[in-house]
Amino acid sequence: MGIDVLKKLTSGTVHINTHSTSEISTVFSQAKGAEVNKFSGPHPAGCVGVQIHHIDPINKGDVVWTINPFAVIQLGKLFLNGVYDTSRILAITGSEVKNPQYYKTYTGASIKKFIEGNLTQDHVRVISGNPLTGTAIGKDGHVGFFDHQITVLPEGDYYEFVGWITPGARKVSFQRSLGLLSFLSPGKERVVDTNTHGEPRAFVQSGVFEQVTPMDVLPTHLLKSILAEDLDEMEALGIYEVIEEDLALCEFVDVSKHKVQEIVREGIDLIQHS
Amino acid sequence: MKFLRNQLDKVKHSFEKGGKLEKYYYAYEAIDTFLFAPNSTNGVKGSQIRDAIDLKRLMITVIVAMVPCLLFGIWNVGHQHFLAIGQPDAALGDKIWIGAIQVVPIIIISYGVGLGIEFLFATLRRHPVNEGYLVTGMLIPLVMPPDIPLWQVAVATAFAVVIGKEAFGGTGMNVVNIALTARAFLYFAYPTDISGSVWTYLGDGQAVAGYSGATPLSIAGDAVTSGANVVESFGSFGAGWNDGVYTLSNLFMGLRPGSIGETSTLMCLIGAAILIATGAGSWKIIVSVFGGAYLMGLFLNLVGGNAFLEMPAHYHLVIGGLAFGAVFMATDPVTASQTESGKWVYGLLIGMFTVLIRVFNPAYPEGIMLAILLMNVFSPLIDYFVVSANKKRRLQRATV
Repeated sequence: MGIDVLKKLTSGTVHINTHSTSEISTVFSQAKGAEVNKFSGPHPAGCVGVQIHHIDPINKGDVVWTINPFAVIQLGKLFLNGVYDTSRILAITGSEVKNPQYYKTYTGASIKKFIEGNLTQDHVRVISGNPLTGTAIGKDGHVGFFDHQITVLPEGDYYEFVGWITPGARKVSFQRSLGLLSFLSPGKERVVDTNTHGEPRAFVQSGVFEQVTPMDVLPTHLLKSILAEDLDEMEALGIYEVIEEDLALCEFVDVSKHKVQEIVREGIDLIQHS
Repeated sequence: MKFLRNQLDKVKHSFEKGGKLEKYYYAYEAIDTFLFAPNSTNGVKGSQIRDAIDLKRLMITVIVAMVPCLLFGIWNVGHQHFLAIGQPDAALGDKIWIGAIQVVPIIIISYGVGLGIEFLFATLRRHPVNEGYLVTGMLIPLVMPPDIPLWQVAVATAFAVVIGKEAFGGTGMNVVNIALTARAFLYFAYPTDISGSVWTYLGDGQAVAGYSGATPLSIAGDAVTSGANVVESFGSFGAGWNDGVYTLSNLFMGLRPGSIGETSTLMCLIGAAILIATGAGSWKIIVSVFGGAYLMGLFLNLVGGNAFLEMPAHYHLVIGGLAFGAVFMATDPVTASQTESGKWVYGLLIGMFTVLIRVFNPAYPEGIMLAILLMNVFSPLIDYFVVSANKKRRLQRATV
């Protein structure tokens, strides 16, 4: 039903994007008038920006709306029963949670009762969403409107003696620089904290941004054009095709510790309000 | 550790905004972050976790990749010294000792002068002390001849850091490679001091009879006029005091006079393996510089015309500083091409120009230095075309 509503709301095509190997519910496979696209691969293959880029890239003047399956169900229920269903399934996750599990709750619920007495230690960061794109909300915060997950990680506000050279496999790294040995045991579970592991520096073009951006977009050039507030350049380099989460991995792997997602948001706001 | 941390925390406030020593904040920051990885955490929004890598670690990785070249270079300086003074049976320890007294002061001068200027500019211009100099400071000694006067190292380093880098706004803003700027400065400012017997340290010793400081590049250059077969000239060079010094295997191993770190193609390849395995250097650039030089060498073989042109193409890969330049200089992320497809073009052109300069411009035998400096200047142009192509693809599908 939700999909039928969507078709009424747009004059364009409705795309249903699913994972290529997962079982596809008949709701999707039998949905009429909608195109089903299958995606596979590591993050950010699941980001809508990346998916749109590969189906039909956004050009200047295009309008593309995205909606997650949960919201489609909400829409369907609204039109079938006339009720706005605010219930949602919330996953409480992260290394510092004693009993990670799903909870049934409501949009915007306080997370206090889910984590009280459920933490292994006190010095933690509570994140609404996932660790790559989420927002720190504090122990008595509320679930974000778009989030279905709460992540609790250890806070990383500690000094580490000559931390820039100590070898080890404890810290997660996408890269293999001297002493970063996590690539030797890729399947192992590790605790990640919120330390920046370094201080901000100028951009270094080591080619890793390109490795984690499966789009025909040049991340460094785009980011620099945003910092320069050059609207024409931003447009030419594809600002319409990205949102924060698409470049979240760039922020994670960045040697120079830039706030990539913040920069992307600045760029989008700039071009939207110009 | 706790004590050290407490001491740093005690003085920290005087360096912060409003503090007595506010001016010196970035000098303080450099020392603090060197001793302790900072306790900063990620922002409220955006990525809450970060990769364990930072610029210091990336730079130290590059330095580690240079260590084989450095150690071999120290030994080789001593080795060549004893061969040139006619004591081929000198002990290993003596060779290393002689090498160390020549090389270590150059390293100290390079780091001392360079880091001094770096801290000075960081304080004056209020920017963080950048780790980039850790690499540059090691690269400069490796491209210096062993017998260079120390004051020249100091002048060249100061010139390279001030004019080559700080004048452009500091690390990351420089157009040309800083270590090569230092080398080029010496090359053009003191041409007589950086040729002839400077490639071998003689010290107080007397050179043996028949000794010549000619490098493979100058021998090949001379062959253009004499018409002698280059490979045969290499083979017969050094007879009597350093037999077979310029045979192919010797050139590859690096048992020859030359700049401290550049002589051994093998050690450069070990460095390349470290850079590529750790992701610190672009394999595309390294491969394409070697490829470009080899292809150009082959092409010139076909053209023929003089003895240098007919020198087998693979000799180009082991003489001069091509290997060192390809692995450590061309891959400098600041001055190289910044786009992935641009890196292929950039590397290929460096290789090709190196051989062209060597063969057709006997006045400047060290082609790799000039080729890299030239392509440093042109790499923004290469990027411009790659970026334009990206924009064009986007524009083509747009309807508005």
